[in-house]
Amino acid sequence: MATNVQSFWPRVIRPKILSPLAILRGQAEALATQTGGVLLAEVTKKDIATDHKNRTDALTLDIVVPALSNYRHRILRVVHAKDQPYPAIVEAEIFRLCRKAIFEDSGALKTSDAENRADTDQEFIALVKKVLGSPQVLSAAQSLIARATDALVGNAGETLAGNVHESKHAFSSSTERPDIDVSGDDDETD
Amino acid sequence: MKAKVRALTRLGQKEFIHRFSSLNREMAVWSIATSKLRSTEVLLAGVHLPSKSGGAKDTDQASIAREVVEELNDVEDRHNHRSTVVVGDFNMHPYDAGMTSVTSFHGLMTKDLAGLPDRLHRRQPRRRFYNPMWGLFGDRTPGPSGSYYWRASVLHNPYWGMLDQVLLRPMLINSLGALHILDHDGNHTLVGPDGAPDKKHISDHLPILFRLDI
Repeated sequence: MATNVQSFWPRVIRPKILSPLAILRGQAEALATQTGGVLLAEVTKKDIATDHKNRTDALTLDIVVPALSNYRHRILRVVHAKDQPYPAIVEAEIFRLCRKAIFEDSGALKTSDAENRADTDQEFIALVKKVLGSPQVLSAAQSLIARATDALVGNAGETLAGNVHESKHAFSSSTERPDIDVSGDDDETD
Repeated sequence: MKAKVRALTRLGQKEFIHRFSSLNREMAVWSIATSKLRSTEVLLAGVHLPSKSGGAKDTDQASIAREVVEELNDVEDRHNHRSTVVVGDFNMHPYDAGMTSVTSFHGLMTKDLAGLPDRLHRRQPRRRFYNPMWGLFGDRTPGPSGSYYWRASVLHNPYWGMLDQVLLRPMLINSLGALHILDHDGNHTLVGPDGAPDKKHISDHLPILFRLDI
């Protein structure tokens, strides 16, 4: 005899759930497509030992810039218990101001209601969207694209006018007036 | 957005290459490769880690140090060597857990300890650093007694601290030459009448100078 009992299961429990790894990989592909390959992104997964009983997976998302000698800029880091993708804790610059330590002294994951914790794939997607749209990531991506463009234009210029490059090189190697190059992030220093 | 780490160099763009910026930009890594080097390449990591005055607790600092070290290990693995120097404002002292713990920087005070093989901890090999800054504490060596001086009327105050440090992987230990905490920039003193850093002149930290013969 059929019963007509209403489901008490939350709507977020459904047939298809995306893992943090799949979501990050999707965003990595999207960045390459959106920038025409000027910026790439790489997702890595690492098994980190917390203690003998608990093992944790750490995922990282880096922007990689081929035109800048494959320079990498880390955007976010995600940790979750091995074989249990949720809850996932997202570490990113935007969360730094209200950073909550994600590890106890023992290294075990805290069970807190931190704002950088996702219990579902929808919550994780929202967190990733918040990170990728943050001013920190936006300015980093803009800067990297600009620098990559300059580098690509510069390389093309050097190829077309090799003598210009040689004279620049001779100048920079001069001992009478050594050039001091500033290398670092693009923004103002402390 | 303020950069936390910057580098000035006389090397060309193809010799001094920015390779990595860590999460929160607390560490930047450059590779140095010139024909003048005996080794093929050296990695130089600059750090500026969160301070206790900024709200970080010991456990936070150790946790962040662990993450930074994992990132640095990844860079070393990608470059397939461990010729690495880390320098900067760690905002921890050489004896703090984030500096010494096997899961963090694992910075050890003697060449012998640092030169031992990787320590196996929880079935994972943990790399070591040599921290020569231990040798510059106190007044038995030339120069200031530390890189930072804490003025506070608290019961436990060692006064001089060593927040600014340089760490070397074992394979670079024998390349380390001079190491100094500077109290003068060549033109002006960097310290006040009491010998402590003069906050009004540049910084409340003193710079460190080291020479690597590589």
